[in-house]
Amino acid sequence: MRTTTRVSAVVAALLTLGALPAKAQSANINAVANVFQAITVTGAQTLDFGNVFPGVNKTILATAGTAGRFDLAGQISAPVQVAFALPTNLTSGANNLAIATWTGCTSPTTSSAGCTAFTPSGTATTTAFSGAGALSVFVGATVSPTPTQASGAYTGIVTLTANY
Amino acid sequence: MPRCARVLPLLVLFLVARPLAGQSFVTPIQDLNFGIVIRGVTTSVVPTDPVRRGRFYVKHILNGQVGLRFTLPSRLDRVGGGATMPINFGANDLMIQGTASNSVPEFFNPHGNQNYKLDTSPDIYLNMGGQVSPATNQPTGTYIGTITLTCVFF
Repeated sequence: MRTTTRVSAVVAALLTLGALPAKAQSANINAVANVFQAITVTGAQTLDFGNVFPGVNKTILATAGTAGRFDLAGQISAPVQVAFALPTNLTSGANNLAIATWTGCTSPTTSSAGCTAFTPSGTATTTAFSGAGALSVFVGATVSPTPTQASGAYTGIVTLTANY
Repeated sequence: MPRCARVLPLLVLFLVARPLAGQSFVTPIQDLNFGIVIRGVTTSVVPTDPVRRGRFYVKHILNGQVGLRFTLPSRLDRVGGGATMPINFGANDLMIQGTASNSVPEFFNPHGNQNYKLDTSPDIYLNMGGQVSPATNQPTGTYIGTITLTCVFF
């Protein structure tokens, strides 16, 4: 009788434990996104070396009036990265005119006064849009014509790529 | 042999096989972060993206079962108000993987409830992907929504 009671108690305990409700728990994470305005880039002004003479280097500063200029629009005050594809030569038919160096400058307006200097390259440079979502990037360079440089109109393409 | 002597070992085994209080839990690890999203450009995060995916950690017992149920937002709300943005979860936006070396990732639709058996490890990571679809005139700003995972431990 005593043994039977013990066994019944054990069985009851087993049944009770087996009948425990499954335990539920919850946890939260957030889904987050930052919506930005798309970036637009406009080639606003050509980098113009004007007349260049054989054997005489010519430099156009990034702050000069004939510097190249890109105008960008984007998210207000957001950081932005700009990178360049730069030609190593200007070309005129089969003739090349070497470009020795590149210089750059960024400004919150289309004026280069007080702009921030940087060196344009294929490696991204971080700058920022203004409080109005504007940014201008100025580009200068030095061309190095040889003493026997053929005369003609030389051109090349500078490409700016911008990303947040 | 007394009958109780035969039953007690069973009881001990039974108690050992049940999770102790606090042994089974779910905890948030990482938000699902879409980062910068451009107006008009649908943007996705895959559950294999270690930086942007959302992540939960669930611990139970080896060979135990966990019922998994997600409560998913259909829109994210702009912080400060004024706008919402659609968010979607696709057929493979939930990846579950155990922590054992032989655990293989499995992909599920987070909209469907799952009964997942922990057959290779007593704990798992649940990685979440998703897709947001901002309108072309979507107001800029930060958008946020809540993903809830409810686990039932069997």
